[in-house]
Amino acid sequence: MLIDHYSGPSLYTSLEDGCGVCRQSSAKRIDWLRTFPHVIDPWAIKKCDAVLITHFHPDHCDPYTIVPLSETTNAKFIGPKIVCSKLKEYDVPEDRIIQLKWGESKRFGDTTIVATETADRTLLFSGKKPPKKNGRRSSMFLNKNTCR
Amino acid sequence: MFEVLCMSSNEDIGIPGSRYAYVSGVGVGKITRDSWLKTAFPEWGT
Repeated sequence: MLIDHYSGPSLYTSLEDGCGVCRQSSAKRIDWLRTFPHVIDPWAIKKCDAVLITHFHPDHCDPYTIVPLSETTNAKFIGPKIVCSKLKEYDVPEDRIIQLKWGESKRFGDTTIVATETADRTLLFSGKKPPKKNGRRSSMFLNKNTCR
Repeated sequence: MFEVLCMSSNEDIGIPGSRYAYVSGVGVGKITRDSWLKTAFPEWGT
């Protein structure tokens, strides 16, 4: 089972494009640099039961992980609504996409994944529009601490 | 086929060849292992 696995390269995010971290720190742009090579070849993974994606940010909902895992394994892809929309964009077959809402759970073998509501400040501050006071995003998190 | 968005070619993030971000820009097409290697390892080569 993979959770928010990132296989992508260094990248940057910008305030102009609605980066939540930039908005919180007042930075116009932030460079996210890999400081060591990514040594896991996602195409080499041949067996995986499930890929959990907690939210739509590209370092969590990573096409460089999603595409190979959709091609080389029979894994199910689990996430909130916005993530599931992204998964369809990345050509993941619909019968392998599982959308969970707050409070719902899904069992894989001896592991149960419980979707829990969280209030991630960075996520709240992400997007083109400024966040509303006490606002909530429509997406959710699959809290890793609740996997049991 | 879907697009992965990357920054324009005159942008960089301080490392030659590391021109990539999930922001508005040109589409680079479907991801393959080869395209991943070229994109993910510009700093260290393949």
